[in-house]
Amino acid sequence: MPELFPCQEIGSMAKPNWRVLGYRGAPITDEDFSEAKYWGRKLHVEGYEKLLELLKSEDSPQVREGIRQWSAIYAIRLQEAAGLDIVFDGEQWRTEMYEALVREVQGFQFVGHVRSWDNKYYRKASVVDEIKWLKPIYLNEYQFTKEHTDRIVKVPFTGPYTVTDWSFNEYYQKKLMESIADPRELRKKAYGDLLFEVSRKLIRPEIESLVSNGVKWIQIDEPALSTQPGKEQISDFVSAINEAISGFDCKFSLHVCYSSDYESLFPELLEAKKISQYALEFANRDSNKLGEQRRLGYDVVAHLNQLGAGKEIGLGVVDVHDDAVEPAALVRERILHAAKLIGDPKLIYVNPDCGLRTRSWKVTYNKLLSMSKGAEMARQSFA
Amino acid sequence: MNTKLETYLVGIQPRTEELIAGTRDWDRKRIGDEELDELRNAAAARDFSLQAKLNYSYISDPMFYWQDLIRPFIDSLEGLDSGPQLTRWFDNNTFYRKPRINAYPNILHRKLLKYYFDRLWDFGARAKVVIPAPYGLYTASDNRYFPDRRSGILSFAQEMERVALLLEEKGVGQIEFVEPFLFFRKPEQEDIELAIDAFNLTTQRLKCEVMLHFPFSNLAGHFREILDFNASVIGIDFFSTSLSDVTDFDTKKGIAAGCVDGRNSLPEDSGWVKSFVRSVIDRLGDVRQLAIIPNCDLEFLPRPIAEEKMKIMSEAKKKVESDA
Repeated sequence: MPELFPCQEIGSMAKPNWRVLGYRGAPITDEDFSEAKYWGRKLHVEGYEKLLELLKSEDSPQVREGIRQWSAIYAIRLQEAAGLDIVFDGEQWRTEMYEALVREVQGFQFVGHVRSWDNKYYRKASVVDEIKWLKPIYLNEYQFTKEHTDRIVKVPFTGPYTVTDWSFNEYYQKKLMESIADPRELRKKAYGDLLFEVSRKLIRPEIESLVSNGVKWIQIDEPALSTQPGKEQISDFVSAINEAISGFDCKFSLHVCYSSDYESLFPELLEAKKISQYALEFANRDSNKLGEQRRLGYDVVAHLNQLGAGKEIGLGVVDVHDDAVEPAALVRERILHAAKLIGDPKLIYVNPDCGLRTRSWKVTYNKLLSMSKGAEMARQSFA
Repeated sequence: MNTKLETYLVGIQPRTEELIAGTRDWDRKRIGDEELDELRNAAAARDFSLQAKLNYSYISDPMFYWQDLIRPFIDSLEGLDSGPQLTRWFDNNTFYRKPRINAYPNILHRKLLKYYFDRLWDFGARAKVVIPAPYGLYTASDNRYFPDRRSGILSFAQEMERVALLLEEKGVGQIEFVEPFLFFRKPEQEDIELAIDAFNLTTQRLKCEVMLHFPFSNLAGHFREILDFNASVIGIDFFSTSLSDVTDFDTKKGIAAGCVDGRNSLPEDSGWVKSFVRSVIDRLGDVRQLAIIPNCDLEFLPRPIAEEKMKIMSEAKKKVESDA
């Protein structure tokens, strides 16, 4: 791994059509087949012909599982080919960051679809019983990734605040209805109870299983934290995450994105002392012009420096909501700008703003490639 | 009890599972416009019929054409366009497309009316519509045109007056203005004053009932300022504002008590809702009118759960009435 500006994955990649249809047991088109062949060749995926055979095989549970594994291998190879130093499997095994986690845990029940945006919906669960972690959820993914790469592996998964925020809270609210008449107090108290239960009974046991099996780096994904309305919620998050991660010999990073005000997370967030890196989205809020004196999207980096945070920054340098590929020169400029603001370039890690799952593989690959080229150009400035 | 009791919906309603599947199929070009329209009309007919059956005081457009509260105005206000940026809708796992303001806004009536079901107008003075308050609409956007906030917000207020007058001309009995932006976080005094000026400019000539709804907002400490909004009904999200913080409420205004949780699947007991409504009346004294409403759009719930909550609201109203 380079000493300066290592490049890392940050979240999920799109699932190729051959993966989606193949895993569902549906026939794939010639176009999808050609896509599998194209990326197999382009990424020099060893033995990709076996995938092509699988895609033409009769449907069976073994075939489906094989297709799913190949999509993980392809995602790993794409990240490697694009020059990433820290990789994972593009979350190819997971349905979605929330659903993949809570469906494996006792106490949650899916109740229907809720809109995410436009015509996109996600399945939302209610907490209907006491939460109980049953078995390792991400260990297979980690072991599989580790077997297929010699790069550093980071395991990302959804944190307690987001699980709490994205679930309906029936069980803990029902328990309090007799004793609390005020709806606001009821909701607030029940929310806190659920948050700490998720931390203790879901997140901590999962971390324990990963760390005891060799995981060295876990990224806690907390997109919901960016929506918090006040300081009290941040303090609650800090207490909850400290319960989940304290005492483990493991590196922890925290991914938060699309906050209207990152500065409001601080200084409270600094009290989560085991978290050594904040991986944030910046590019989405920054100008795409080269040569800007002040890169507005990156102001919070200066704020962290003023606070003497001393934390690594996972610097979002490419926008995941736009197909336009940022030139490497722009990536370089963003990195150098942030390095100057933070004072110590060694604290800067480079990543996309968030997972690239809404982009095609072509756009994803080109964005990641541009990102790693930009990082290399930034390194040259320090050579 | 001198308080007139009502119940009705607020905001956007959740689509049926059939309509969700239909929009997904339409996105993937598996079905055409006509087939999607059939599904949409069927879902709307179901929604209208349930509201009527539950004897709601107002019948609300379910807003199945709306992708979010803001989008129809990107489409129908000249001067706005949609950037690629998806922005989180407050503390929800839901996003909206942030408008970009490139020029002075100008409403295109015909475009806006396409967002309402024709059937709605048949309800006459029982019909209600939902639109963003002018401060909120401006704040939700990325301003690239106006030199300062005040001129931008007041220009939007003028244009939203044209929108409101158009809807009033269609015969609606209530217009709900949604204002989640002002009190979601602690506001500056200047913002409150600006929001009041803008709102009063928009609503000055309206004769229909004007509801101002503050979902996701803690109104504690702001009730004196709320008096200055020219609204006949104030909608309070009681899952964000404690009843004990409601002080100085002008009882000449109506209160719409958001005490059925649009963001939790747990069905409220109608007796619990009744007790809460009683405690609101006890606290406020002789409030002119009180509506039992969800605290926010029911679209944050899956459709079957939302329908269950709609029934609970109606049951709770009957219980309060029979107690009186």
